[in-house]
Amino acid sequence: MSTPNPSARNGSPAAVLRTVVGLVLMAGGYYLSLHAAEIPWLSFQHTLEKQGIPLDLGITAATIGVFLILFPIIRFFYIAPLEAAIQERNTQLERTFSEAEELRSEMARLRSEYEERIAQTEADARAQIQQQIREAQQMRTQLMAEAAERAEELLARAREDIERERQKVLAELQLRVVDLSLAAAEKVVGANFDSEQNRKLVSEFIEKVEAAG
Amino acid sequence: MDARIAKRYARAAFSAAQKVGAVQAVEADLGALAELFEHPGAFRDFLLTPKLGRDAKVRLLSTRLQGQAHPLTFALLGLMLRKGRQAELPQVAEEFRTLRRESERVVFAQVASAEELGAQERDALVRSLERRVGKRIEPSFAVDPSLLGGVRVAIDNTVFDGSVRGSLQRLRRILEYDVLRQV
Repeated sequence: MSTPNPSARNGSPAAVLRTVVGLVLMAGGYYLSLHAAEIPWLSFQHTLEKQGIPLDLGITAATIGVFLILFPIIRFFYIAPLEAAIQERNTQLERTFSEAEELRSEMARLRSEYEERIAQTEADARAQIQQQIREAQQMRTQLMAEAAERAEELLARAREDIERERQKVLAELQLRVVDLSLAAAEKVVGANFDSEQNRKLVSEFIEKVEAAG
Repeated sequence: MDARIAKRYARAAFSAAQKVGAVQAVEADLGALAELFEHPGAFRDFLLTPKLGRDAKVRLLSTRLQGQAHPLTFALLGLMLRKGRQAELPQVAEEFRTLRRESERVVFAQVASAEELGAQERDALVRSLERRVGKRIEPSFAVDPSLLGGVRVAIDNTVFDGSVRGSLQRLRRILEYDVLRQV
């Protein structure tokens, strides 16, 4: 804010004119006030005074002249600081309003950004949720397929085990039958094998041993 | 028991017996002593007891075996006693017998039959086995009723099985193989 320069204004033509006019009015007014009774066109002041309205145009003009002469001083010591304070205040207010406006704009921008960010975050979250759901569904499908495959495998293995066990039991049973049959055969042969048959068997062995060589 | 030690003693004794022409006598002595040693009794206890010193055992043996065993047998037994190898006596006797058979190109055959074989059957069997293996046979006959019938001959690691039990066992193996092959 710029402070008015009284000295510059005092040096300007308007200031000089105002001072001259002030001096003329002060001098003229003082003269009119002293010689009012002698001037006809000022007789109405006498009439007004009688009616209770005291009016002295000479003093009024002299006061105006004094005011015009003293105006730069009043302006320098009172009006200019007041104008400066007002200007300062206005500037502060403007700056405050400007800052408030800027803050409002910033808040609006931030709010917009925030809303955009929230929207983006929501969109991202939705996308991620969708992705997670898809992955979970894929995993579920895969797990179910694996579980089915595993179950099938276990079932097949169980069938193989059962079949193997069945074959094993069957073989054991057949071996047992072989054992029993041969044990019975041994008993039968032992009971019915006489010396003659034994000698015949020995003779055959002797022939076979030599023939095999 | 270390078979190498038994072979070493047997080889030394056999070589000495060959030089003096006492292979049969020493083999018979060693066989009899080994049989005594293998059965629990006074002779076995005497050889193995730690209460008597080795020299005392040798002295006692010299008095007991004098005139009953060949001097080479006594010398061998005394040496084994002094070296603490008397427990190897059965193996030394067996190795001695093996060396004698090798030197005479004779193979040992264990013949088992369900019934006692007659002399003719024995001779025929031995001749047949000799033609088969191309060597002289030294048979050992035994009766084994569990064979049910027929005869079984074992020569070294070869077995000629003509017994009823052997036939049944072969039949058992064939049947078992068929059963297991189906599994």
